[in-house]
Amino acid sequence: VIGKKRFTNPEYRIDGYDKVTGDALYAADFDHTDALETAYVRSPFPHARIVSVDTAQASEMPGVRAILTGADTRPLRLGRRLQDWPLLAWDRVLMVGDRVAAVAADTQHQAIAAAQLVDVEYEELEPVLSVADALSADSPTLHPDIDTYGFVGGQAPGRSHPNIQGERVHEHGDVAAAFSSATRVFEHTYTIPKTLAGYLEPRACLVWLEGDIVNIITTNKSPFRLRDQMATTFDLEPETLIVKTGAIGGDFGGKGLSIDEHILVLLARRTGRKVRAVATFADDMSYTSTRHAGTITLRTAVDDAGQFLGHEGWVTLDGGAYAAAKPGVSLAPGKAHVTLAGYHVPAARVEVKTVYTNTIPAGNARSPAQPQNAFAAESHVDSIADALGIDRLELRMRNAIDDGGIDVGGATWEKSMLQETLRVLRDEMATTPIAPGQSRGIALAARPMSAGSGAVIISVTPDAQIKVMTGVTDQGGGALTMLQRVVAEELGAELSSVVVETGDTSSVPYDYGVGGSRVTPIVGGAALDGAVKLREYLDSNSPGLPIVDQLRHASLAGDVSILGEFTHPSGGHSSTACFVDLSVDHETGAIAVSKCVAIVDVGTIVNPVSAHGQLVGGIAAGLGMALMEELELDDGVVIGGNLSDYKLPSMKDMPDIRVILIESEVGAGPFGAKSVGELTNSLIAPAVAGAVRSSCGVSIHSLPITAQRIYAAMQDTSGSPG
Amino acid sequence: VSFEYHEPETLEEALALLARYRGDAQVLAGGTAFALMVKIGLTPAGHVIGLRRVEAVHGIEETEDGLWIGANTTHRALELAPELGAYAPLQGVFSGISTVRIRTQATIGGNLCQAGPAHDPPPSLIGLGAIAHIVSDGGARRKLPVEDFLLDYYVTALEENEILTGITVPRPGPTTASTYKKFLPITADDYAVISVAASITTDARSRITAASVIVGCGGPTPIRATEVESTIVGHELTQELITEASVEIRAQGERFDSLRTPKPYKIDMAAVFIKRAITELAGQTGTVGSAA
Repeated sequence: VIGKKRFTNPEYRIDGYDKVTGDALYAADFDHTDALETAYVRSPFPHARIVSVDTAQASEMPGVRAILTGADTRPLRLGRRLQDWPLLAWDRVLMVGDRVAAVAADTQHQAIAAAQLVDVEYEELEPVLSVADALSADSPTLHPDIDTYGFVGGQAPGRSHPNIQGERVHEHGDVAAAFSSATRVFEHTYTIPKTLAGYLEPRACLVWLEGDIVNIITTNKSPFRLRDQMATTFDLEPETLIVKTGAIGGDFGGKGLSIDEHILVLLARRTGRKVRAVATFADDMSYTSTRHAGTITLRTAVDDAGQFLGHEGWVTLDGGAYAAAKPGVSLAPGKAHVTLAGYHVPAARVEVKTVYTNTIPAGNARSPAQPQNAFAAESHVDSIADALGIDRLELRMRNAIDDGGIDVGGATWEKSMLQETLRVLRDEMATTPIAPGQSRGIALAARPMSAGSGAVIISVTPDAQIKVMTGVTDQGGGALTMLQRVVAEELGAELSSVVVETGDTSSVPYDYGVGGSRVTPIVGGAALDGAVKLREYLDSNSPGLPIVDQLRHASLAGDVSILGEFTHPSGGHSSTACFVDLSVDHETGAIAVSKCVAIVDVGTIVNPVSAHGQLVGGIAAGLGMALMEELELDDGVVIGGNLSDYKLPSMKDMPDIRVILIESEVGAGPFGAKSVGELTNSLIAPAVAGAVRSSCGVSIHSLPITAQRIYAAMQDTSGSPG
Repeated sequence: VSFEYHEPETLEEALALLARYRGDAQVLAGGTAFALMVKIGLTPAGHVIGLRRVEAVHGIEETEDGLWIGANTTHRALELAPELGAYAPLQGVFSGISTVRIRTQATIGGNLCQAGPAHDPPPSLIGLGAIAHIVSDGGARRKLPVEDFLLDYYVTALEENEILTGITVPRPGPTTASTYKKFLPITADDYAVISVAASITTDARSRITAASVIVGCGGPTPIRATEVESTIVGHELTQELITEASVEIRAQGERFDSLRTPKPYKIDMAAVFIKRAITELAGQTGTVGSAA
């Protein structure tokens, strides 16, 4: 660790005991006595017209309480921003697994048995399975009525082709002049497959009605936003929906999307019963949401010294059948336009498109679009360095943003830590020689801190404890423990005297949810603000007493309830860099990664164990992306929709990992905290690609970097360096 | 999913149940594959006959014909059995399968009857000349080389009125060396892309008198590299000969297919791992010639 430390003790996780003993309640564990269970009728075709749906025979099955078809749910659609995903399809199905009917029955077996007897007649239509097909002149329009769809807050973006979900062009500086003054121009294209977020708990939810109130228990990590999205779908006042979460069994970006809750509302209305949906893992993998696949073309103009003068990027992403999984107004994943993250780019033009196809929808997974662009950008930078004969690290140091530099999005940076991060990387590389037979790759990544607001309520309980109520759900990141430690630290109170609870949407201030690595800086900031205000109250109520006695006095005084608030307008970045050592078996192409050292500029760390876990976990996720992960489709059908065929790295695959924290530059969060969640995962694929290139001279521009791809490239005698 | 579960105590009872429910009965060993099949929606038979209490299908024992292994012996039991030490490379084959949780439940008989294309035990069992012992509901017994027991993807020579009771593995001679190599390029937690079980027997002059080279994961069933074997038999091994022999696997190209990995890559990798396996054996037996 480089810098200063405030929270030195490892944290005791608030949720840890219940999780390891099995007492923690996940959405599927909440009391579902007498709840009806559900099953769907799904399309076997990627694109088809629904000719007829016959539920007569299914309705006669034992235990069946209700069957809904698209005729019942029309025209309702769901979505995080653009509401383009029909609750049930009524005219056309747009992907394999699209839902055309929903059955509620006394048991799940009965629901499944009945669903199998729903007779759907389809007329197959020509499927649009690739982005190129979707954007061709004669492609069928997959969403002809898109202009009538709901949009949750803000305005839908314009589109230059009917099959485009979202489109955005960023430009700053004089790009044409930059390119005309360049000594060299480099252009490379990279492709990324569909991959999964990789959580282990499938989606689950429970819905019941009480008068006009709709109660929802869900795996969604942004309960307030789910409430607002459902309010848009049903045209209800948001306050009539109460969304509650339990423990969440992994997220990695995927748990912001909910697709069952809406249908359960209608089934609950139809039956007057509590209704539950628990996805199977295979269904969740095959029919819900993936990371965006895509093609990224980068073109960069450089001068004699390798200084970047100008840059152009074209990011074309396969959005799948629905844009519903994307929360951003642009209907592109969050960092889709950041094609050269962390570099000083005086002039840039970047064009982003997300495109409809008849495939599984794309949404958020492990830092939306950041790792895709990092693979492209860092590989591009390696290729430029190699072509110019400049050391790869040296080229990065010449171009990484320093204070006052401009990033690819046109923003000017203050307090950049990139140069410092690269200096630490350089020192670590110097003191860690490359072992014989190994080669080394490097990469850097950076992301701005999320802007936004957060709030918590802090109160003193009758038994003199401090209670923090938050809308944040703990999806495994340790958010609740972080809030406890921030409040205890500020007040000088024992950890055991601070209780943190997640409230439902009717009982706590609005919270945006977990995402964009916002919780520690922003909600942590709100907790700190609340703690400061509580101390002011305690000191005026019972000055000069120890905190324990102050709390006792406050508990006797009655209702102490304090709103802690924090807003981060914008600004601040987290930086990271790494080196990866590996060997390539030149007879087979197989890669063995032996070492990964990551340097991370994190500001103040609140939860040391969780922070380390997130950074190491990010490396593991990055190794998955680099080496093995790909959700394969065949004619629109997800093949290998299970964890035996879809490979994630296992413990046995992990290299020697070291994480070096730079805590010297403080962030805007509590006590100087920055974001940690979405950093290291972006580094690994390009570092692996660079090391492979050093080892055997082949440039792999498509993920994952498999033995077979390397072998094929080595067989190709030209070696395609470029 | 619904079926009637039977748990007979003797082989005779098991065979009687198989006869009674003929056409609608299924024999269950460890159940690891069964559970997966049910989960992906394959409906089991109406009657499932669990063999775990049938003594005749258990046990590891030295016999005149070699090592007897009851069909219901778990991978874990085999991994830990000292008897397997003389039957290289079997111990390592079994300890290398999946995780200890699976090995504790899965059985050798279940594995052979499941007949999955990427399973680890078949190539080595075939290489060692293992014999399957089969009994029918009429009491008739027959023996079949494991090589002929596996017919296609998930298809064996077992008739619907038959039970696999176990296998015997002939004891390798003192001048035989064997190895098993798996190619796991994606993750250590995976089925192999290609695997090779190789055995060589040498005479006093370091000449190969017998060889078996079996490739797993290449196609529906393990592939005997006949041309590789015949290229090395009768010769002293040199690195040149090993390299020349290993690419002879291409002669078996018809038997490879592209399940999970494209066929051309599998064939090339089979050659690489055949070369590595034989080179390792040559090193073990000290038979590699000076030309290497």
